[in-house]
Amino acid sequence: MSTKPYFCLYAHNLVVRGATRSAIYDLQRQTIIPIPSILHSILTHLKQYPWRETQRIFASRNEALFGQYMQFLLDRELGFFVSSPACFPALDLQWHSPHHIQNAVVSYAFRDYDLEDVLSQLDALHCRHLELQLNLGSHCWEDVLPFFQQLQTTGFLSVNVVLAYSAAGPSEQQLAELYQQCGKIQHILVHSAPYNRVGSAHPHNLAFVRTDVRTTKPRNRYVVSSEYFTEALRYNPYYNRKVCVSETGHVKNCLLRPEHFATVQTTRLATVLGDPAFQELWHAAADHTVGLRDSELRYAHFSADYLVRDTASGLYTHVPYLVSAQPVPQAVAA
Amino acid sequence: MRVIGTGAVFTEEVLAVLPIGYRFMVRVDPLTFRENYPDQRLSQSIRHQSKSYQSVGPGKPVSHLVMQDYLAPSPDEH
Repeated sequence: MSTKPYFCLYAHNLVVRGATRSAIYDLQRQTIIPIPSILHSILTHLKQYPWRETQRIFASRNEALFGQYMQFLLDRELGFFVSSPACFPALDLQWHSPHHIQNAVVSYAFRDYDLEDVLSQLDALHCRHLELQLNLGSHCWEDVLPFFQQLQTTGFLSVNVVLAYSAAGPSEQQLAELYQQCGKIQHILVHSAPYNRVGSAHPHNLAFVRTDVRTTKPRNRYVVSSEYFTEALRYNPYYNRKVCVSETGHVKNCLLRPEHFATVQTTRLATVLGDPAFQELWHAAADHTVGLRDSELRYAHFSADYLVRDTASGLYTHVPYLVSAQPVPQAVAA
Repeated sequence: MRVIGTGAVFTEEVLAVLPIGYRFMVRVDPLTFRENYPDQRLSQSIRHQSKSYQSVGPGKPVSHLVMQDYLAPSPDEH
């Protein structure tokens, strides 16, 4: 095969073992290649031993099959033969973030709390991405514009606007103008509208949908990237460093969950973030989730599932989702 | 990056007094030169003291809503 004694995967190609099969995460091309678990064992052995030694142990009676496995990896440019594997160190899989909050979802109905104050608090926490769910009610569109002027000077990297449709609400032209004027806005989604279509001026950034997307049952997805992979190793990417504020001002891990930890009217967001109970779901990593920890796709799995922790085993389990946009307030956790 | 023309950008009289590397310069469509950030949306940030603050989308969905489900696919997607 090769005169060079060792075989290495490229540093951005990481092998993950599942219960029934394995996968190679190509973090550079952002794809996943399923492989049989025996190939995972071979690649693990190849990390330390020359390929001839690995061939002798795993395929002493079928060298052709071993050659096919190697050719499979070479054809897909997943690895290479090398004389000195020490010259090619592994990827650092540590995940660090200087942001106290990465993502925030704020639902606002122009009552119950001061949105300007909440946005200021999120900015102080170095929040990166904001989803703003607005329900105008009887208010006019001009009442909303001061908030976007405030957003313009904050440190948010992006803002998604989810707007409940109303007959007195903004026209498509007004929304298009807002998108052009406010550089932080990534997408505007108008739900509960009388039609399904994308914006004519900005079809990739503005859309109208008939359904109330806030109560849509979430679908599982897969995200393949180095940032997501390293985060998923130790944290739950959906809940990690996320804060949600409901229409009534309740601070939650997710708006779809009924339990809350405080209200913004009485408690600063920074105080809530320091609560270990609030951070519990941040650490619901895939390796600690029943059902998911056996999947070879667990470090790419994005799910908004309702998780419950079993205090005896410390593992998290999925339960049927409580689909409720207006949950019943409960006693605040101590 | 789209190269418009591979011919010499300068006249022979000018090239005669310029270093030889100038003979190999090409014209590039500026809208396709990514370092110019032609498709980048910019805003401001007081904390970063910037009036050219890049807007960058999240690498994962912010909530259970995935905007791409409702929008037209971007030209970069395939």
